Amino acid sequence: MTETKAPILELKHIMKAYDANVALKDAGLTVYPGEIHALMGANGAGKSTMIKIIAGAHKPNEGEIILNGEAVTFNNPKDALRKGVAVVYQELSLVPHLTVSENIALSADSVNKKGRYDWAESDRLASAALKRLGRAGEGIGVRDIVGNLRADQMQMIEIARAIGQDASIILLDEPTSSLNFEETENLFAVIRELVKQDIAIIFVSHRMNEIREICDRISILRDGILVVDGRPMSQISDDDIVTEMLGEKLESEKVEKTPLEEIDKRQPLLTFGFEGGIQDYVIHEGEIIGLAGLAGSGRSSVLRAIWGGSLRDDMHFEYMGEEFKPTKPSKSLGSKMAYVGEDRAISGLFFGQPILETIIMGHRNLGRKMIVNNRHEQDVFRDVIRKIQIKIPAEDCSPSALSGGNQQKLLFGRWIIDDAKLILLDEPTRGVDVRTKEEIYQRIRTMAAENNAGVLMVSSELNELELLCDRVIVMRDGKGENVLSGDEITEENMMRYIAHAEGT
Amino acid sequence: MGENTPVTIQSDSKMKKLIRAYKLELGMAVILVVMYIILHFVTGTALKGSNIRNVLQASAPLLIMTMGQLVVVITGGIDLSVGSLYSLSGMCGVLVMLRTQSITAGVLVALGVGILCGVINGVLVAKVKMAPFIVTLAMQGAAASLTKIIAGGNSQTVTLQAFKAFNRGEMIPGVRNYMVYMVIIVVVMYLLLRKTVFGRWIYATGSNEEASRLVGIPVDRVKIICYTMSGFLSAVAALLGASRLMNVEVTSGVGMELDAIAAACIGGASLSGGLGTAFGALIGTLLQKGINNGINLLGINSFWTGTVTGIVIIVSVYVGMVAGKNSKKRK
Repeated sequence: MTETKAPILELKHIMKAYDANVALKDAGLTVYPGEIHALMGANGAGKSTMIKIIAGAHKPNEGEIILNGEAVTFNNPKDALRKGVAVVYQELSLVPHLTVSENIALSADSVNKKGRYDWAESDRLASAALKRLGRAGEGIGVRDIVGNLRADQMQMIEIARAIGQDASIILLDEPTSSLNFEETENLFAVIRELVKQDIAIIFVSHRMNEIREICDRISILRDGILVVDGRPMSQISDDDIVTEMLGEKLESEKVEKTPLEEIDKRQPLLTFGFEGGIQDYVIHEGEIIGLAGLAGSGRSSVLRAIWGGSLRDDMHFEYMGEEFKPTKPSKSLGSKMAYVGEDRAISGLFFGQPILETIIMGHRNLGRKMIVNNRHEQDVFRDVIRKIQIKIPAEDCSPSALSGGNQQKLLFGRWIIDDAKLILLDEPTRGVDVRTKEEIYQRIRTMAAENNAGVLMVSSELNELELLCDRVIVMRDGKGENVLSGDEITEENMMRYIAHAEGT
Repeated sequence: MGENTPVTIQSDSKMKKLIRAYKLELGMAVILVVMYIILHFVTGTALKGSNIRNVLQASAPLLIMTMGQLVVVITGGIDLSVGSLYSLSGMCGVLVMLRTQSITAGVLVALGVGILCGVINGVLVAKVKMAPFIVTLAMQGAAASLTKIIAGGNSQTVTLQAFKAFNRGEMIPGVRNYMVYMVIIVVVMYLLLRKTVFGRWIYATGSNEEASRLVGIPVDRVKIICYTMSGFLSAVAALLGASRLMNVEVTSGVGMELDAIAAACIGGASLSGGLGTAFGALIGTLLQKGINNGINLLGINSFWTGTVTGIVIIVSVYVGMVAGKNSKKRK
């Protein structure tokens, strides 16, 4: 459909090296107006470098950028934006305390009336930009404070700012990673609306089903080389995509789940229930239970309540046959539990400290010793690094030197030192590539099977729950609503129950 | 750079690691030494025993105070009250000493005041969740004003000659006490920060408070203890200062909090938390006092001290930022 038009943006034979480190060898991208173009690649494939080049934040060493048929260079992000290319990063660049109007129009020249901020003009620009987002943007008022908006609305503000400055190409970097199912749909509605206006969207994501749902064509980078150049989505299968990204077939193990009758015979590990809830829920040894539901349905808060991170007095627990009252994380830690939080940068990693600190801290606190035993910690650390299979530049480097996937593996590594009995996982594969995902799945299965640990995991990626879980609890209004088990756990089923739960 | 590359852990030699970990501090130490060698060439007196002793004696109270500031700064906080606590605890201690004629009573009261104010700071920051800047700014004002009230605005001379020994005595024959204290505080702080679990908690709290809490670190307790240590060490510094001059002014500690913060930061501590070492704080303190000393020796108007110190702060923190980028210490 788009093939008849001329490409709006072409990147050809892009080479980019940082010192001796070649990030891109022969990368490229061809984008047509009015299309949604997926850009994929495993961690380390050079995707982030490519994004920075498109954004104008970095300049390529070799290769050319052709915009509307003319060779151009982007001197900096502002220059790229002036020429019509906008990038919306995962970490949004909004000013939360200011209004929607200001966030959209702040850098427009026309609001600056000799130093006075022209509010009328600002509001006009903002509402015009919001109008172009279509129906999903209607709920946003120009004088709303951005910090009070939902995650998807904030994304929309960022997009509105881009189109307010006449961007004709918008790159979205993992836009859905912090959105729930419903918010994602809202964002997609906006994207479809923009495409109708002939804006080109470059969509960067690890989520296969979303790429499948919304993208027209796909380009894939592997080891700095463009290996799939704008192939229509209809001509490429999910397996092909994974194979192209990794350069080999991924042995995705479809592991047979243990029959439920078998699981039910095992020791119950944790029983939890809600005040006024329909029933209590039991996690047995070696059982993996998923919590599904919309964001805000209380999935994460159940995990945090068990971990003692934030308490819920409307829940009751029985752990290893005794009543359990979580008070603080150190108590749960001492009771052989483990927790991997939702946002690793906030809830897990110690930036600026050697990686060892991130890995060892739980073990150290469990030890209740006063003095640090350096040799022991070094041994444990090396053992963990070997087990989780990550490569680190130096022992004393900070977690910031690692890719997102490896950072996530660090947090799993933390909990393989002392065999935890109950493992609480909040979005365990957020923002990691397919290979790392597979490794994390394997890790979760191992923890359950070999250590006989119970796992309670929250995930927005339903295929993940389908793949791993023995039971799935669909949550609503902070409580458990439906329980799916065995063959009932399919994406369609979960989706239906989640949607049903929402429909009140 | 696929992720399937075999697992490698680069094991550098211990020495190399040590140098990398203390890059900034070592750089500052070199600057300090070079500065003194040049000063010696110009003045001929800078490296004489008497001058070095003077500088060290003048540095001792600030060093002790800086160590307290350091732990607070590593947690990501700041303690603006230490200067006023220096005045207040010193004044309380001396007044009690004069009233009771008991050195022990005076010392205990001074330390008690320091600890109490530190606990108040800590509880307000950790439990009430108020901003450290505001809490300690308020404490600064209150302590300064209380000092004037209890002293009636007058300076006090210590008439108990035995108190002199606190600073200048020789517990170890041939070594003045202040030297002993300096060695002790540096060694203790080094051990606390590097070798104890509590020390690792301090860094973790400053690096990522939420992550620390979620991995079972009692962050509130960590912070309260750090602010308490800061208050306590201010009182120790005040006693040392009082013993040296045998006199306390109501304004004796004015501005010292900024010297302490500067000393910690020159030595590599970061106000955003998670960074800083005892060795760095030592070098930072000596560098500041060394600049004072250099300006005196060169006969330059002492009004210049602030300018030179200011430049040193900016340069050292800048160097720290640039070096941090390469050593991946950054966030």
